[in-house]
Amino acid sequence: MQEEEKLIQKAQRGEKEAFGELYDKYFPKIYRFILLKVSKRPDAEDLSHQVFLSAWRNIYTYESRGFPFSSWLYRIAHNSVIDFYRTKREYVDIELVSTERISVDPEMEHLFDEKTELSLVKKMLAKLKEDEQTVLIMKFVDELSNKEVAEALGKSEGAVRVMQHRALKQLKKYAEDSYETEY
Amino acid sequence: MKLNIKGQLKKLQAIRPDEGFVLRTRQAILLEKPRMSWGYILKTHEIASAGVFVFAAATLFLLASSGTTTFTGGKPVLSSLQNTNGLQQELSDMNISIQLNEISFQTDADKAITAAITEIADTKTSHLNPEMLKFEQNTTVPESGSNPKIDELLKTILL
Repeated sequence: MQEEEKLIQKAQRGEKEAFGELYDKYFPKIYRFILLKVSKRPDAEDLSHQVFLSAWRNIYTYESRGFPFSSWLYRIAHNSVIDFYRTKREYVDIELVSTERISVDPEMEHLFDEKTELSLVKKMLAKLKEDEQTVLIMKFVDELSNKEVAEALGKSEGAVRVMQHRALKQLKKYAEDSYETEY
Repeated sequence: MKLNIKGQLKKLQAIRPDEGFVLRTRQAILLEKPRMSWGYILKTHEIASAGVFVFAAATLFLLASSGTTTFTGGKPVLSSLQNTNGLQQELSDMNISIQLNEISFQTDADKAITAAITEIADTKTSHLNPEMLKFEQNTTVPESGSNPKIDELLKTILL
């Protein structure tokens, strides 16, 4: 973490390479978060680009306050997604993210043998409320702590825990219903 | 069959962006320059630098203030600016004062000029007219060197 703080300080002084290292570390995570929210790869690419451009332009405004840099980036990304839907007014279900269109690390391809399960998870996520989706993606896909999720969303940790519990409960219910109908 | 929801969510970590896109975006973003604000510059730099900046600003302010005082004849500018009515009154009073002084000067000048012209034009002035001086010289009878009355009086006193 100290190493990251040094990189941030260098980036705040305008050192491009320092910000480049932060970009390399966080771009894949932010891209994945956005893709799961907007479903379409071109939209996810545009938004990811905007998020990091905004972060670079406003890097001097970042203050640690005990939260990692990733929370700040996720907050920008979350706001970008909200703005995206506000201006576009066109909601695309997360289930429309084609499994074939997702670029997968070759070493992890074996995990996708059961594509039906993956597809089912995406369909179930799409049925959740927007903020519940966000919490589950941040918590279980991006593996942020409750504190980090709370900072990124501008909510209290208690509120995040409640949303997480409610979302998981709802997801299990959808899963049981799906299995009852499909099997 | 039971679905492991958390495990399935974790599998979504396999999503990756296109590497070519990542590199192109990286280059495009780093071509931009980060924005800076005066607040950030003052916050992050040495206190000495901030002190120099404040000193320079104060010096410039003082220089600007003294320059303004000179041009306004020593009158405070800010107090006048606070009241536009007062400013207009000052302006009108100044014009009147200038006009009255000018009239007074012109009147005195007229008198002096008139007196000088009269003096030059007057040929009957006794102490300057050469004919008069000549006439007085011819008609004046010089008194005799002795006066009997005075002699008598002197004798009385002395004796």
